[in-house]
Amino acid sequence: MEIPIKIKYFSEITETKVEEGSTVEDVVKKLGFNLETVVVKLNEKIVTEDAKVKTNDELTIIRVITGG
Amino acid sequence: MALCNLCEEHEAVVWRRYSGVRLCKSCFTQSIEQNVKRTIRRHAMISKNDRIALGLSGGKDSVSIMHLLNQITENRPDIELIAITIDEGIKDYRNESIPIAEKNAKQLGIEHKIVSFKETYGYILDDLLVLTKSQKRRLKACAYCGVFRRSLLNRAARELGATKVVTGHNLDDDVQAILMNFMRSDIERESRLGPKTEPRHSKLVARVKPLREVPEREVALYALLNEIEVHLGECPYAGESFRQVIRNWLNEVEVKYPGTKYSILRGFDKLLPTLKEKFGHPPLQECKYCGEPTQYKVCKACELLQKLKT
Ligand SMILES: [Zn+2]
Ligand SMILES: [Zn+2]
Repeated sequence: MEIPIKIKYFSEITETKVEEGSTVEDVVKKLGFNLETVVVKLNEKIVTEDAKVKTNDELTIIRVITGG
Repeated sequence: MALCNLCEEHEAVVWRRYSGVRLCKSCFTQSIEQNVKRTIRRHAMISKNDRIALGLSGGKDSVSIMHLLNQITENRPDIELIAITIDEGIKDYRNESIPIAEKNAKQLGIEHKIVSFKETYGYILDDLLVLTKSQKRRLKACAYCGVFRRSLLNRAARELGATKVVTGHNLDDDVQAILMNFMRSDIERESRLGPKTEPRHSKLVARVKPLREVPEREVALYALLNEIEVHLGECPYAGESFRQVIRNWLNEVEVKYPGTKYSILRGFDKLLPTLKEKFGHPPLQECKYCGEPTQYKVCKACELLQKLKT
C-alpha cells in the first residue's frame, strides 16, 4: 500500500506517495539524491537514513554538498 | 528511533556506515572536535606562538574550521587567529558568501581581511572568463580560480605576518584531489597533497588541513546541528569541472562500499613519504614579474595574466 508524504526541498513543498514501510533512505534514493550529499529532516528533526516514514510525514531534504 | 551508541540516551542524528556507529548531536559534535584535535596533534599543525591565517570563504568547511579552531585554541593565549577572505568576483555567489564570512568572524571576535582578485590582478574572475572566451584560449574556470586564489591567500597571509595557513579541505576534497592528480599523472602535485605543506621558500607560509579526516557531509552536519550560519550555495562554475565528475563517482562508490574515502586517504598516506622523497623538492625561485615563489621563471598566475594581454 502507498502512503502520502510531503517533501520539502529549498522551501518548496511537494506531495508524493511512497510504499508503506519505506525508510528515509528509500525516499531519498527514489528522488534521485545520493545519501552522501544530503542531510534529511523528518518532521523538522535531523534523523538517520534508516528512520521509517509514516503517513503525512514531512521530509526536508538539505543538499549540503555542491561544487566550489 | 535509533539511539546513540555512545551515550545510549539520545536519539541518533548520524549513522556512520564506515564504522557502524550511530551518534546523537552532542556525541557527534564531540567526535568531530576530537577528530580535528587528533589531526592537529598528529601532524604538529599548531605550534607555540603561531599566528594562524584561515582561508575563510563563508562556506561550510572554512566557517566550521574557524569555529572549531577558535574553540580548540581558547586556552592558548599565545595563538592568534586571523581570517582572510578571497573575493574572486563571482556574481551571485561571493556577494552571498562574504557577508556570512564576515558575520561569523565578527561573532567570534576574529580579525578579518578581505582581498580581491580585482585589486591584485586588475580583473574579477567573471571578466577573466569573458576575456579568455573571446580569445579562444579559455581554460576551465576552476584552473584560473585555483591558481589565483592559492597565490593570493599565501601572499595575504605572509603580509599579515602569519606563520601558518589553515584551509578548510575536508576528507572528500583531498580524496578527490588524490584521484584527480593520479588520473592526470601529475605525481609532483600528488606529492604535495599531505596534511601539512612545509614551506619550500621563505615567501611561502606553511599550509595545514585540520579537517582532512572529516567527511564533507559531516562538516555540513556539524554546522547545521550547531546552528552555525554557512553559505551552501553552489559556485556557478562548478558544473564545468573534472572534480565534479570525480565527486559524483566517489559518492556513488562510498554509498555502495562505505569506508572507501577513508581507505583511499590511508593508502595515500602510506605512499606519501616515498612520493615526497622522490618528487617533493623541486627548487623554487621568484617570479620575474610579481616576485612570488614559483618552480619556473614566471609563476602560474602571471603566466595566465600574460596570456590575456597577448
Ligand atoms: Zn550520544
Ligand atoms: Zn608572478
